[in-house]
Amino acid sequence: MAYATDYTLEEQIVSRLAKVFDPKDRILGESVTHCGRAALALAKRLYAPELALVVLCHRTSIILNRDTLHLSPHTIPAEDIEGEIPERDIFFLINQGMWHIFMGPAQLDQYGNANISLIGDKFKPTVAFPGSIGLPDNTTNQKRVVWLVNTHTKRVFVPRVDFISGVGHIELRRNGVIKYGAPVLVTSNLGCFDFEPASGRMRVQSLHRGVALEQVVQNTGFELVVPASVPPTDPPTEEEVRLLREEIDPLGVCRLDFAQGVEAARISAEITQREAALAR
Amino acid sequence: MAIDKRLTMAEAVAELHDGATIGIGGSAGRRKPMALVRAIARSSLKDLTVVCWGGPDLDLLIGAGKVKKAAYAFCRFEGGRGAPGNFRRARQQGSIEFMELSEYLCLSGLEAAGRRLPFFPVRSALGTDILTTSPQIQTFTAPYTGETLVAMPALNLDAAFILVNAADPSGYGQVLGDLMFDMPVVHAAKAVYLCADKVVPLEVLKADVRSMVINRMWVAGVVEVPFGGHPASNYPSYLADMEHLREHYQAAADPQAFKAYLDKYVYGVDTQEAYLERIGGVSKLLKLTRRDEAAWLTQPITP
Repeated sequence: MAYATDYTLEEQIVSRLAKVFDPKDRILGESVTHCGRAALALAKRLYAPELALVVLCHRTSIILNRDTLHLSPHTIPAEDIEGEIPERDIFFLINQGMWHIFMGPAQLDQYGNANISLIGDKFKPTVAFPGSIGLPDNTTNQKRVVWLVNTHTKRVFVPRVDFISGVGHIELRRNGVIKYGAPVLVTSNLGCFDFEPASGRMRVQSLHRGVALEQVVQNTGFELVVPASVPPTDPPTEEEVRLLREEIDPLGVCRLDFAQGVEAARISAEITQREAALAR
Repeated sequence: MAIDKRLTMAEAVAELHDGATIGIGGSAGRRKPMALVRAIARSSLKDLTVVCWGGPDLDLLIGAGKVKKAAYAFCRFEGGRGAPGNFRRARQQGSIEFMELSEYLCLSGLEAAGRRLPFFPVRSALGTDILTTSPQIQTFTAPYTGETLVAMPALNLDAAFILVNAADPSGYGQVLGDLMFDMPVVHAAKAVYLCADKVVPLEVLKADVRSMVINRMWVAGVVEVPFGGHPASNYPSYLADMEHLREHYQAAADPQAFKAYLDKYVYGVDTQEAYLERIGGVSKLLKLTRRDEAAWLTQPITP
């Protein structure tokens, strides 16, 4: 297993995310972010062969046996489809810890509580989002929860979330009242984080290539647990990088997770153009 | 004597009362009985409680001033990331009551109602602000294991509206796409109204018995409305009208613009035929009924 030397930030993060699964996990996976999706596809190929990838189609949700990332709506080729699953059945999987979703909250606090509901007052918010959706279910039922943050800032990493949509390592969990769905990992554009078992507080696990600890501390709105020595995040392996570039994400869709403004618009346009050319 | 539950849109809506609790089938921009939602918006009904996996339905009813309380898993357009404007403004101003739920809480509240039980036990939402903002949702100690669980209260519905591909006059409903949460919505309601793209003799439905997923025992009324789901999708009959959903979403950002939207598409048209002309007529419908490989088309992204 040789580490790659030529790799991108996205590839480093996807590689880390793919390794959260156990070899025997029989789990249906979905992702809101591109990197999460690539990680599910990579994990299925290399680390957890019984994972299943799900995507919402016109008819129903379908289970893919292989996944190549796209940006525009597209028709999934028949050979990539393994089966289908009705929306309601997904909740039996959730109840039994056989579901995993990669997503990023609007706010995340030091105990790993996540907010996707609103900003401001709980009854008169300054900004309202669509709702807590599946987070209250995922964080009390999943085998493990992973939060993906694309932009590591004090706006996201806050001392206290305005609304707990997804529950982290609060006292109820540390006491054993909440049994399932614990956050085990947070990845951001700067590093990886886990939670100190005794206190439930977020802890620096590793730093991505070229990132200094100071940079992380300055962009986090609460005090992180910092171990005596913080290792660099493992680079992706050569095999991972090859699979990502040649099969899982040949268009480079994952770049969009970390690009902003003009750069994001440029990448989107480039990918859309290449997709249109491929469709012809 | 043959059972005939056929009603016009106005007749179905006239069976509701002010303050009623209604459930709407479908999810976000899929399989929403939008023609009946617009008929409710046109009526004099007020103070409704709406239970749904919300999309253009909930946003439109809030924008038309029909909603007193929303109990919802979310309110979003298919694939869209933000909340649509009428929902967002009402939530931010606190102008109506919001019972924010999760998807599984919503499902479980309907399950409880459908089984004539006071609550359904779940793990969902322990430790979250779902419980602090809706203190009527209580926790309890489970018999046998001693675990702390959430007792999701029954979401009893006075009426439910469900989009089907076809129905017969007696109330058998055919659904060809994903049923999503429609059966729990049906079971939880005292009266179910089917919004059917077409009404056909029972003999026609029986050609595909396994697609007759809604039994007439549950159904109070059958309303025939061609393209009754528009702008939502109804597999395999038609795709979601993304252009129209975008128009709704953009209009909803501003109360005046949304008033103009309602004038044009809701108040200003009293028949489905007139509505279909207004949304683009035959050329639009031909575009939406394009069937090529639509089954495995991934959902497009709205703004």
